Amino acid sequence: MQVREVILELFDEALESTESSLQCEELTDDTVLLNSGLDSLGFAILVARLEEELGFDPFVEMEEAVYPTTFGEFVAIYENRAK
Amino acid sequence: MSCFKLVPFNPENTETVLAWRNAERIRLNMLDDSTIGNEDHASFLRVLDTDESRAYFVVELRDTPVAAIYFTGLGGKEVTWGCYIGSEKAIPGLFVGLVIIAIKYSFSFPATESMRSEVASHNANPIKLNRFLGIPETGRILRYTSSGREVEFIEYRLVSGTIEPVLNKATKVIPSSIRTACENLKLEN
Repeated sequence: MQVREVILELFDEALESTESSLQCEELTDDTVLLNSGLDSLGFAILVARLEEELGFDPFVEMEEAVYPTTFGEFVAIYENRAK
Repeated sequence: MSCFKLVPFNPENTETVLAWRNAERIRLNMLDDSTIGNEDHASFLRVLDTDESRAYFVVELRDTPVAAIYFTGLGGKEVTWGCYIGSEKAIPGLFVGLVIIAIKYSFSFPATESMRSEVASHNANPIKLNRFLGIPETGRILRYTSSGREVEFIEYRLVSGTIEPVLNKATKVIPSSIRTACENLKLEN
């Protein structure tokens, strides 16, 4: 499964596990993460789950931490690391 | 290396603190929802200098300011804490990390028997997090903000002797980057 697909699947899982729902019609690269409907707990769970599934946490590995604002930036961080 | 650093409020971080604190999204969750000016903040810093029962910090993650965290009642049986996230970036696990920091700092004082917080009832994120971590709700208080709004605040209280399950649950849901940062918590003098 492609990294993006894994992220989308676990994003939905995180929404469900925190009883949240998507606050936009669909998740696009321009979706601002803080406005997506996934709250801070959900986001923590998402990244922790991604670490379980993909075997890495890109944020711990970064020399200089770069945090995403949009969903597209978030996916890019994982895709770049997975290469 | 990923680490959290607590930097006391000081004249050098005033601009950052006030930019965060005066943002509408932060003020609307505070009991004092007024805009704080430089003079008032400078007076506040002078009070903090002489009051050992209160500590206000900028939280830095890998040397970048990301949040503020504060404590009152230090040295007594009950410590009250609060925080706000200033960063507009999505930093995964940051809020959970702040709860871990709050627990570690509050209970580092030998006299502390409980750690308390108040959350505005419309502030969904911390309400959900407290519920998830198992931090008990211990009361509801109707208060009036400085602008005259009536707001119900939910009180949460964590008693020493019950902190381990909360810390364990919090540690499980945070990614490695935040877990490492919490383990490397530094206090700047």
